[in-house]
Amino acid sequence: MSEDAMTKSAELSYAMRTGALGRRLRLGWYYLIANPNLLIGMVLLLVLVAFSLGGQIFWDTRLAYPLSAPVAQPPMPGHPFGTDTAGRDLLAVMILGTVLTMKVGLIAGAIGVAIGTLLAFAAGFYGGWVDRIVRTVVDIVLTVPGLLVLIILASTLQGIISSTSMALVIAALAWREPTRQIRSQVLVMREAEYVKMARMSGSRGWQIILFDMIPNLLPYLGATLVAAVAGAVLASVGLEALGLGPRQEPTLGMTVYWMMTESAFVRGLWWWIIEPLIVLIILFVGMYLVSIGLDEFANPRLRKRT
Amino acid sequence: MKGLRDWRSHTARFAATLALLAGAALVPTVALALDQVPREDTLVSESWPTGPAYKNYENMNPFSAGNDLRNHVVFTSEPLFYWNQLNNDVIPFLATGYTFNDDYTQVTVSLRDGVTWSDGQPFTADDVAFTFELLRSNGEGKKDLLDSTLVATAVQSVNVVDPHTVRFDLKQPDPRFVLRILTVSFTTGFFPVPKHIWEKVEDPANFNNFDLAKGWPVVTGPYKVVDAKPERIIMDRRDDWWGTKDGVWGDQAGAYYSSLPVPKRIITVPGMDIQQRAQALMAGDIDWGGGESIPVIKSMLAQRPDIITTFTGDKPPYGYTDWWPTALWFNLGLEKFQDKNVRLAMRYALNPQQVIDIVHEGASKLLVSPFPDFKAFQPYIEDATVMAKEHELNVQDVDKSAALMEKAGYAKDADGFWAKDGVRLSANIIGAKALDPMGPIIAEQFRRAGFDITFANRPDYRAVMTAGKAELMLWGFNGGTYDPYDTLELFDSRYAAPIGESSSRYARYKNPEVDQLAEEIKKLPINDERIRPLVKRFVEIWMDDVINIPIAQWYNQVAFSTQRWTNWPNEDNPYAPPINGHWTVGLVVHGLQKAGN
Amino acid sequence: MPWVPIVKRVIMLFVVIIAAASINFVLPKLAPKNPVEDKIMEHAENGAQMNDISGLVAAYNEKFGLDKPIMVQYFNYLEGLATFDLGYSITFYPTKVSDMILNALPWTIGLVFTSTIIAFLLGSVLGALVAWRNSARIIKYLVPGFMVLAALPYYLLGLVMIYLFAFIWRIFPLSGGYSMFAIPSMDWSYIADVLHHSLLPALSIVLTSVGTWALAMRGMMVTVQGEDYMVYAEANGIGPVRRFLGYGVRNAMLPQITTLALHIGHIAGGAVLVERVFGYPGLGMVLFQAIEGADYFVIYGVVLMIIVMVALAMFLMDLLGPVIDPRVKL
Repeated sequence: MSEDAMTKSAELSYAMRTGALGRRLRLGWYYLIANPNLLIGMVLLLVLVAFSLGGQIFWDTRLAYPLSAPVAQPPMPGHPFGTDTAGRDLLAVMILGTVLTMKVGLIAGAIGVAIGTLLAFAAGFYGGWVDRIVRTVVDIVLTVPGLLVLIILASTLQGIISSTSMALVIAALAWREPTRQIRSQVLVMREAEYVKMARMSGSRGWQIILFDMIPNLLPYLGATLVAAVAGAVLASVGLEALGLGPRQEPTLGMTVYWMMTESAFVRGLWWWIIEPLIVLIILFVGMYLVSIGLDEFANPRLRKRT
Repeated sequence: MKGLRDWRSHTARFAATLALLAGAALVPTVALALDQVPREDTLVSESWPTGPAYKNYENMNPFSAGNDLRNHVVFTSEPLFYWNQLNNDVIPFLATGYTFNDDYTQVTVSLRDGVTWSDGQPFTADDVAFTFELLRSNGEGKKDLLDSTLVATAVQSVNVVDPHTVRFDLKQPDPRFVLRILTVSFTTGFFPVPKHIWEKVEDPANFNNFDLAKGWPVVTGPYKVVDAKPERIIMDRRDDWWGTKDGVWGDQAGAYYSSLPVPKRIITVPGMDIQQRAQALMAGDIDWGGGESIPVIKSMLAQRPDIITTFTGDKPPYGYTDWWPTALWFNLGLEKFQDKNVRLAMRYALNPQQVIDIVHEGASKLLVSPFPDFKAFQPYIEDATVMAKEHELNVQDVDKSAALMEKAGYAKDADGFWAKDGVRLSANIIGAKALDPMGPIIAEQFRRAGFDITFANRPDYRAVMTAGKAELMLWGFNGGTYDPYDTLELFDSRYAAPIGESSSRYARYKNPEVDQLAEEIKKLPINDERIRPLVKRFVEIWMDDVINIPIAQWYNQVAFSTQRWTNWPNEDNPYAPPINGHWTVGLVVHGLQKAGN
Repeated sequence: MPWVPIVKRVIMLFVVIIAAASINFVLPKLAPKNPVEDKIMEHAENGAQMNDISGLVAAYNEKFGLDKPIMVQYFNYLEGLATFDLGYSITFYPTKVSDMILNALPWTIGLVFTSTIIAFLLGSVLGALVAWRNSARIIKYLVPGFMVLAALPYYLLGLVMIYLFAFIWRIFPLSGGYSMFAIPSMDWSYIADVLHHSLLPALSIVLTSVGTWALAMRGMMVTVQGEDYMVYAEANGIGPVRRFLGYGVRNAMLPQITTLALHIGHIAGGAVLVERVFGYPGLGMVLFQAIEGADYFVIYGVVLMIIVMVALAMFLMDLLGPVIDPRVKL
């Protein structure tokens, strides 16, 4: 993006946060045009959502389970995406897998950002010993390798059977980064004029947080959420690829796992290799672009990462 | 200090790598101390322990629980006897024969004259007595040597009769003693160690038995370790091996192992994943791989028919039967599997042939008995085949399954799953990693018959099963190999520990009649006529009681490369079990011929 | 440099290390398994005849102190930590944990460290250039490409590359750190072999992280360019190269280096998947296999190393911050 576009997008985003609704919508459109990252990212994600929602209407997703089709067949009429070695129809797997994988990411990411926001405001707004404790705890848990925690949680919970329990396990770690990032935003905002004004006018702490600070932080929280969701999807696909996922459910990560353990490479089952990879690539690139786009929107001038 | 030295050498290697990556360019060339042996004279075998690197590469102690003998010990050491399940042969190696007394409480073993250790010392009855006494006393005391309790429960004392005769006094009549303890087969048995080295060892469990400068490990075999690194272990041929001496083999003089094996060097590399292995075999990097899956073997045979072969050539089943027939095991300690009707209903819900067709691409056999398809078991399997028909073993019948569930008081709930008093019959399957591909298919067969069964394996499946916290298990019969006794022993009531307590027999089955049958068989010698009716009764109980659900015979599908080595064991010449994961590899090495000769 | 904050920071360092180490002690114990039993049952699965395993399990539990009360085990652990004695591996007894780590470390350093540094340098330079007004057009097109790649987890890109380069075109080996038949030595053929094997995994790490570094750097450079001192520098006739390096890059670099320090700390644990996908014999695999086998002392050893490295990295960055960028207060 050129310098000009960046200045423009900064102005637009400022106007959007202050203007009236009709003006905001119109500006929103201009903003999307001026911010191609956000636009392309959203288009990619919408394509995936349309694929999986439409797929659930027009395709029989029960075929995503074993014994539904002849095994290890390349794309053919009746099974346009081919089948895997257990007789799953891969089109049905991709449709369900996209939903399930996004679900895991959304649940874990949302929980992570919610906890993170809570902790960050407690720490950043009230400061003092609360802040010191939160900071120390975050410092400590950031030092322990996440993989260790995730694997041990996964096996302590009697193996991960459903994708929902998978999401909860990932959520157990998903709050660390959001807490750190949101806290530093809160610290900056606490010194802002309008917060000081609100304080002087005698508003209570929770009122200031709820009515003055959070609305202004929304775009930033949005960007953090998208990043957290992407992180959660990354963690879930990683855990699944290591064989620690819900094997009963046809998530994208489990498809990658089965593809690897069933030697798809040596056996030349190319469709089984590229299909989950393509869907995952669209998903990751989409989320990444949206998160960059929102970041620019929330923080057009100051792109410093803390 | 040792660690530090290694660290330096690794760091040096990587300093070079770093330098290259950074664009700098001065690296000294250091010659390797080892002799260079041409690739055509080297046998490269992929070891079984999981890669990508050996962690215990300096542990050459055959009794250490932290060792894996398949990395090196099995190529350098020799046992008193080998047993080859393919033709049911006992092959005397360091021993020449044995005799039991009348009540099977004493066995006298005669040792081969002329055997020497790699340091020149003669191998005598003292070494054998020392080895088994070491294990016996450890099994009664510290118990920290692998399988020492096995020796301690069997052996009263070991006595040197003369330098070439040793007598074992047993604690109870034990007609299986020689095959059980003195013989190496599969991954069981013991390799004797030299007394003159080991008697000075204070803590044998903490002894690495590795020091190249001292010539350790001191062995009797035709190879000795010359280098051990995390990446690979190198063993070179000892041309002064005792087996080439005149007359040392006596009656077995014509045996092919009376001359030096042909490979001048053996290299073992850490276990790879299945795709790596396939590519390494096809590229000629390794000559001998571990177990494969059928689809992979098929694709290798299609891609490199010129060099890839198997025990049955390019025809199914591309391998040979191993012990460990596959079954789906119930944890019988659990309340929900107490009802025999439920177990039978679940058996009728399964279609093992479909599992074989999909996972093994048809190249396996249905299981009609709890025994591996070995020569030694043929009479028992014959009996079982008749009974299996009567019991409708391996027959899928969803209607019968439903009728049995209703009889057990179950009804289908709103989602179509069997439930009783509002509680659904749910269970999860875990089990041996090698059986993973079967999991989703079996779970799906159950689900279609209304059983809420899932498959979600976990990396710590062994611990979960040992603790009795598993529900359904995909596992093998790790029972008898030369005789049915060990299979009956799997179901002995003394292993039916309560849930939560450790038990190495996962079924946790309890039946005094089976205990009784096992006790009677235990007293009879192998192949005794009187065993057959007892085993027949046991198999009947196994089918009647639905102790577990049989799935398939287990095959070892192994691919060999004939690019450099030929005369691998095959159907027509099964001179040894052709798998490098078993401790009988010493026999295979003697049979290999150089390609092109 | 003021002393009080430094002392405070040192105390903090120890608090973080001890607290994290304590979590490290508890976590593996939560998994419901006994490493000794697991090891022995592995023998059984491979075909050993198992009679009574309880004796062996008890003997090894005693040997490793696993039969002692948990608090005693905890203090033994802290003592080992303080004396840098990592003990023995349970699964591979009597192999020392320190030996296992030292054997794997060079591979991890060679692969992950090197590629992280390359990605960092490349990304920072590209990011700085793309934000610089006078830089070449091609760079402005190059960066978005890297940013798309940055969205991918490196092991997924690794899988794609394995498929293309190792299977379809057979240019690179499928996996492993060196050829099966290579004999490690200091000669060129071995080094070339190691490089040949490390190229695909290294590329997958570099390609997927250049974009992130570039994006962060660009953000910082944009901010820095707006600063007054840049305008003064230009007004005072300071040349563009000096302005770019001495004023722009230098000031934009600090947060980059902080992030880099964190990355390096996590290298040991963070590369499991890339090592698994490529069958690379590094620390990540040691950790993963130890977790699988509940090999407590190996887990403790590897994770402790990660903890100390991350904590030290954060500590050093806090101390060095003022040196690199005088505006930062300690």
